[in-house]
Amino acid sequence: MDGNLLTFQNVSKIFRRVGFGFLGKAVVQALKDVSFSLSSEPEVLALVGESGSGKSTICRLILGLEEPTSGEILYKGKSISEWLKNNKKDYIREVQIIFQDPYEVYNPFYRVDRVLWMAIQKFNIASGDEASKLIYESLEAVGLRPREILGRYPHQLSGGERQRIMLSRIYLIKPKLLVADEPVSMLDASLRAIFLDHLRNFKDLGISTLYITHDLNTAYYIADRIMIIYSGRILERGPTEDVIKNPLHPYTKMLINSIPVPDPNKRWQDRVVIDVAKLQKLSSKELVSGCPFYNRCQFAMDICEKNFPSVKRINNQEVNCFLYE
Amino acid sequence: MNTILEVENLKVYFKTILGDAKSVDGVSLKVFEGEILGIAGESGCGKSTLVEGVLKIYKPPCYIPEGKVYYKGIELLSLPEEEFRKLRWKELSYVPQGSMNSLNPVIKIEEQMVDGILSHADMSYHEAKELALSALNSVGMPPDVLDMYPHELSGGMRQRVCIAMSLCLNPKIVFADEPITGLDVVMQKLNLQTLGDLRDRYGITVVMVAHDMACHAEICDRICIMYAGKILEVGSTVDIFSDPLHPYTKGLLSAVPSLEKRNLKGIPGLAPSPLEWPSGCRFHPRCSYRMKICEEEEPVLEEVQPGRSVACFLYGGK
Repeated sequence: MDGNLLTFQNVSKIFRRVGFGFLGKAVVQALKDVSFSLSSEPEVLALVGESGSGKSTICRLILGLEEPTSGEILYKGKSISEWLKNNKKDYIREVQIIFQDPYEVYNPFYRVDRVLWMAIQKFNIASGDEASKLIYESLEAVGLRPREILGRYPHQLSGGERQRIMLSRIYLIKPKLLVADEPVSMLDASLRAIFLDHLRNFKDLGISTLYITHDLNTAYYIADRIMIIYSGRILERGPTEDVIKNPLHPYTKMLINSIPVPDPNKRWQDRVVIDVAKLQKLSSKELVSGCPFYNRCQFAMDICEKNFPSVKRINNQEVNCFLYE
Repeated sequence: MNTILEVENLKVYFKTILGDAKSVDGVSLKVFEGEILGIAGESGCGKSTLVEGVLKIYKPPCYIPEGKVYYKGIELLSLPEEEFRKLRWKELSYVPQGSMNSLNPVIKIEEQMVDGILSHADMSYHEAKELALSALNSVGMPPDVLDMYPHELSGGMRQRVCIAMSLCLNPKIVFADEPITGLDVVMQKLNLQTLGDLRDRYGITVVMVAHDMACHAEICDRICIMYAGKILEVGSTVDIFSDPLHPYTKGLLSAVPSLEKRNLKGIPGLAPSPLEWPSGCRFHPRCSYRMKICEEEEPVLEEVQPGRSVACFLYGGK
């Protein structure tokens, strides 16, 4: 037992498609040598990357929906496959998820109360009067008025309300680890802040959160630590403040530089230049042994094409880049 | 500044079994020649419907009970469809929401672009292809794109192909509906800059609909804030960001996440339903400056400073 809640040890995941006909064989390296851990102290760890970077694969691996091709994922020191074989119920009670889309997680034929009652039943959380008291409490904890929510059908509620019911479900179950997969990308700006505040408060309940997002702004708002993932590789990680204020990897710098600033007096001074030919080379998903950012990096060196740099520690941050070797 | 497009008390409703959904409910607005106008607001406030109404590209059960749109002195909404069709694309072009998914996946880009041009202009295939090439060039895409299928391009590049398509016939105004949602940040920046170029290099007027205030801050000259089918505030981008007047605008801006501040505030309460807007000022149930009059009377969009209008009783509004 290393004292960590969750540990990824050199996890790789390769998706293979057996080819026949015009659907040729295809191999996609979704994750390569990913290692990170969440400590047993509650924290919010943000995993930031663009679409196709492998964020969702990490999420599926944690939930046990996929098995890693190589490497190991430990939850409280035991591998996930072991948990699922021997203590499946404990595992799913302790590891919960909030999905991106608040519209598709509900069965439209049932009232929304059901998602809360099911959780109580399945995990034997409470019974009778105590259970309904708990439901009231959990709805109020995320700023909803139980009287306006209970007994209604999903289509009668807005996206923000539905997503907050999911939060209240988490409050009810009180898992140890919450995986939040882009939970606010479908919410309006005015609701986003409220939602994130609740999510952040979950730390006080002893819930650690892996916050998966493409949006550095919200990650900055909520996370204690940030990991930047690109094309299946983690390129940089460290405490939020350090990574945002002092990004090391060229990719992180490019990301931060591309975020629009909500201030008309601070408009972009530089322009994006993208070499389309290079991009196409990049999109052919072959197994690259070098740095995945090589094709887009303005500091690319010869060594970057064939080799992937090892982790370099600089102050509190860790970065994988030959610029710092 | 010349007014190029003027919208007068436009209403766009949807017929439903529960009555009319009043998505756009009396919007008046001027677009000046050569500006980038941003239309901001949250989902369901009617910003996309407004653009669809102006361009008359809605389908039933949507209809326009009232309103006028003047373009160069012509009233557009009363024009026969055949006449309007000639203006669309040539003068007023449109980049639809989610345009990266609006290309036909089994036809090459060249054919799709040329097809569009030929259906609106009388010219040879070769000339049309030349136009398509120059349009692609103006959004910074290489000519080989013509020979590709949509799946060979990334989402952001497909979106730029759609922007290029909207430019083919040298329009005077481009309406871009959520031109950057669903893209990675780097592509977002590139596409926003492409839109900015339309004005800077080619003098095209751009109307951009987007929910993300930060995008408006980057390229827009003026911003309209919409809420519940109405415009609540109009002003120059700098004014709106430095000194928001309407309580909703204030709330919207304090809810924008940014790497420069770590405190966010949301707006409590929920967006109202277009089937039944609140009485009086439509924002009053969520407003922290609510007064008695706000529940009873609806404030009028009124100029409070030169070039700055707001619909709120805190600033007159009668």
